[in-house]
Amino acid sequence: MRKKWLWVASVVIALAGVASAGHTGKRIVLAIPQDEGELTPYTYVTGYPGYNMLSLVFDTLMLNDLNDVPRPWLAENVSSANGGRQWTVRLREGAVWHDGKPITSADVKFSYEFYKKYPLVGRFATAVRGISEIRTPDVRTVVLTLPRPEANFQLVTLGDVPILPQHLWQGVTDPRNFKNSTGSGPYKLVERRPDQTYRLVENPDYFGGKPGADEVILTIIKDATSTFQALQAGQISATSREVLPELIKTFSDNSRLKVVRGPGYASTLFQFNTTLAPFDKPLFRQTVAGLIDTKVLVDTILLGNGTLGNAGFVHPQSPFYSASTRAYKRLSAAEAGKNLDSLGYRAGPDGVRANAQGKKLEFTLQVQSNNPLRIRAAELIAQQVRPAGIVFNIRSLDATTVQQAVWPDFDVAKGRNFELAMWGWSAPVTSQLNLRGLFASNPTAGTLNIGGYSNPTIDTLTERMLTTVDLDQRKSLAAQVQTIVASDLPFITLWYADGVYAYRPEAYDGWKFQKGQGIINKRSFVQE
Amino acid sequence: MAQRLVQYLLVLLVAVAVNFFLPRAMPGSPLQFLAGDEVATLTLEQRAAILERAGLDQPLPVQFVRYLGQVARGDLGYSYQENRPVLGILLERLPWTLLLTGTALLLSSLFGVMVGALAAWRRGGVLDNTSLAGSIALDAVPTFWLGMMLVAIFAVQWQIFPVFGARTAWASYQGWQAVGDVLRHLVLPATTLTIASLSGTYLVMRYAMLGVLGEDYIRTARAKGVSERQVLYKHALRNAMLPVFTVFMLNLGALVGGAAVIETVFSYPGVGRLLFESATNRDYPLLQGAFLLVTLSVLVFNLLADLLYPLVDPRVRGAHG
Amino acid sequence: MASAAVATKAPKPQGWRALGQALLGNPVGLIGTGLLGLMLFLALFGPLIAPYDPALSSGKPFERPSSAHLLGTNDVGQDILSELIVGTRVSLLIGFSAAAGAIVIGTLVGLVAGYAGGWLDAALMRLVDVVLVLPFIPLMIVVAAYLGPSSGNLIAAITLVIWARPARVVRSGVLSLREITYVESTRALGASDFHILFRHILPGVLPIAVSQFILAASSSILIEASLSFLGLGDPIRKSWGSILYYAQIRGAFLNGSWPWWVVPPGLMITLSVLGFALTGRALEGYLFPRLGKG
Repeated sequence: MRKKWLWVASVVIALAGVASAGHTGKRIVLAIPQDEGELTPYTYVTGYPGYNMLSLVFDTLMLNDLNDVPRPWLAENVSSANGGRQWTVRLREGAVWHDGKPITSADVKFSYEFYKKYPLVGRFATAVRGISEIRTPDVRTVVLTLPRPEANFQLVTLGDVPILPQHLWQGVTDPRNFKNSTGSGPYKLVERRPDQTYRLVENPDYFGGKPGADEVILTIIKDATSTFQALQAGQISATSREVLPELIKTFSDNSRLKVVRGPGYASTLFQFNTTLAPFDKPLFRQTVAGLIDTKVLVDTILLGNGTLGNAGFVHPQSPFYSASTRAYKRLSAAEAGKNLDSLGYRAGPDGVRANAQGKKLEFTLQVQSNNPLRIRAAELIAQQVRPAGIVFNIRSLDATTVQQAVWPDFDVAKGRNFELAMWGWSAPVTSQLNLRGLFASNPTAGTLNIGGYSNPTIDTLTERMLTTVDLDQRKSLAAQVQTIVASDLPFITLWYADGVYAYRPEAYDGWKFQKGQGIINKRSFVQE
Repeated sequence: MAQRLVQYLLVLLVAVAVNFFLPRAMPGSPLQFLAGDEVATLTLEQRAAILERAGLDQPLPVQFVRYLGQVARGDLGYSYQENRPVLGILLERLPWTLLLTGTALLLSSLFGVMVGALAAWRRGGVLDNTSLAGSIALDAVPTFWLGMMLVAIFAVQWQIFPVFGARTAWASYQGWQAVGDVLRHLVLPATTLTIASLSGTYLVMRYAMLGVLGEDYIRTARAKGVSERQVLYKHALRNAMLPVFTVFMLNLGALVGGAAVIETVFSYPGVGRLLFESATNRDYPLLQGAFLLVTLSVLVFNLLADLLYPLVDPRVRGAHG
Repeated sequence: MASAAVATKAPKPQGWRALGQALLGNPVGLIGTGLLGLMLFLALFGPLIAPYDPALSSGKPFERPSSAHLLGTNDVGQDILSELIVGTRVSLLIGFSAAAGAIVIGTLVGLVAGYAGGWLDAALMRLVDVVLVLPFIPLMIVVAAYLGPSSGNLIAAITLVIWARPARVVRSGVLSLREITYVESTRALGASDFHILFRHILPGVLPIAVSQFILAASSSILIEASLSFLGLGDPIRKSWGSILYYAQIRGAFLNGSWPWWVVPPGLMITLSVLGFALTGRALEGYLFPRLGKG
């Protein structure tokens, strides 16, 4: 029954392929977990995979290569002068919008100014904020001036901000409600059924190489289990979801599926509130870190499919990783006991340590109830620290509730209301090396410093990194930060889950793994 | 009747108020869902602008009055998450829920009435005993687990039916092919729901039938030598249907919101699952809209049952009207 | 039908023999009490019988059934059989407590509404109507989010949702009792409302409350399982519903472990609910002797 249907379906697909002769004959059916609104820079919803889907329709001046280094894309050439204060971008020749009109330097100027004028999408508003002047000496040249150098300008601005067609957007005053997905990307959006599917077809005139497939169907499957069942059954050809650790073996054994993997930059952390005693003492944090066996966590929870956390936070595969950062020093219960003794916490009759004032080492560890991996990790960690006389009571709460306690209104200036929490940062924190956000003590700079960590040396170093455009200098600054962080331990980096993806090669085999990003990246959809 | 109507209106008003205040009592800001993942990079002014746009900067009473006015005008607001009118989303979801729960309601009523009537007719017989035992056993099975079992066996193991959704999303089937596709997706969830609601109708029918069969006029008819068939169809069945009708109308009311868990198990794009999704996403307008739809459907069908009952039951006619 | 029995007269206690006969003297009662007994036994002594501590990893993750782990291990190597046995306590506790809470509230509301009549009756019954139409999943999320998804809050939320039905049934029982002569005569003798309510009417509706309790307990167990399955329960606490939650979310259907990971918790839920239902049926014969056998 099922085979017959599949057969009919494949004939239909084959016929469709013949009808549009001269094309690849390929069709990608990609499952994404939720509706992404209209595919415009002002209405897409998620950073991943929403932005990646947006990038099929819109282009940026630069585009990251598979090692996460920005390369010219819509630009033919990018050069900087005056210590990173002036950037000159030369556009490709012959690049056109989906409606055939040429892409000019005026479009670039218009777009960057538009994001400044309507700062509704933080990602782009922040990216263009530092630009003080935009000049267009000719149709293909843009000159951008910055009052002060920005280390991440290529990554965050040139390689990230989508260029809008001025002729369609210039009259727009309410961009959130402007529903026109005409861009310049490798695919054109031809149909959208909200909450169900998007249909994109190839843009034969694409400047950046031939699109890899005639058609890309994005189908929304909200539930992870259903998604992987559909992949096994051949109902979809790939998914933006990473394969769950417990399925990797099953999928690898399946001859119809191909499994690819690479480093993932999303981190899982054990977060201290460093403004509370005893978490304000580095020795206490080091003791907890010494008791946690991250190898056991990765082996049990990820079934080994992850990279052990580095004490200095930066992923070992990142170009900024400093190999000289010291690793977590494992402690036995007895060694940990000595540390705790020296901090004044002595073993009590019930096996729980307490100080002279009777304050017990018993804390609440908050964890997001919708994240089974973190719950399981919290359970294992509580088991691991217990022999040293420390009790972690796990409290599983709605994810938004945990966020509101740890990071009220996403604003560290509003303080924090937790002791310990399971936490994690998404890939961009690592790929953009946002060490300033993570560790700077001033809330306006350290926007991700949810633990309230403070170290003046770190403040100076990260401030300097912000304006250091030279790669080697940045690396050396980053190494110094990692060394300090590895001994201060404002949080414990437990692991980075590997990015593991599965797809059906018979449907499409052009997937390329981008470090920290996975196979759902623009280059996967284009033949280069 | 007028008194009844006032009562229903009161219930509606309270439900709308609860509807409005409950989701706002939830901790956590809807900012993340308004701004997407990028909320961390927003400046304070940007955040304020977003909240203002959604009307969330106003004090609660102001928001409530505004909400009442909008509801009265049929404007259910914009979904934060999908950035489009709530009404449109609800109307997209509604047909699927009606298809799924309607099918299940019809099938379970049909089977329930048939088996219930026959069981009572041959009271103490094999059918009576097995069906009674069966209905008790089925009542004890968690519905979502039953659904999981059907998925495991028929979709994963034997691959006879699709595992999720209401139709093959990417296929552009036409005509009968499209109908067949929808039906194939309907089989497992509808079966689960039918089985889950079967025993209610069955039990009511069986008891009602037993009651009717004990009545004098049935005995008289039998004594007069009216054929068994005629007694069953002409007299007993017709009269025993009344309580079943009430249960049917009540079930009809619960139709829209009743399948939330099953819709989740099967990823069926109905209103029930929308309730669950919008609550976890803190999508207030969507949650309120779905709530309102569910509440309204319960009230409307209760009202309808009240109105129809005198028409159907000659004994009640005039008494309550 | 319960109220019909009460309408004529308050049931007389029939003694322990009749109770024993109703519960154990027929197959329905025997199976029901047997199942309930088994579940109660597991709930009380589960931690002593379980082969392992279900909170600790006693094997590798995702082990298939073996002599060491009869039902295999879960995603962190905990013994599934032990989880099932130890989880009985939480599942039953939540079911019992929520049902008890609902019956206490429901009986009180029903008593007061039915006896007082007038505006108080009308107000309370409108409240009942509101509760009956409230969609309970979002209510559940609010409570869980506010207080943390602990067992206590799960109980509170289930109670809040299911007290309305017993209230309605008890009220109709009270209505029929109120007009009965002995109540009227006591009133004529000058007894206080309080006295009449708790001395004469409460004992009369007690059988209704007991049978409603059995119904409420079985639906509480089902609701707890559904909510835990949706991830709205306490994922730290082992219950049958939370075992199913992890099974679903960690791919039991995809890696083929569902026969020993998904089937057994469902069976446990089914059997315990069945135990309640059959016991309830057997008890009805004792509580409402005039009803006869259905």
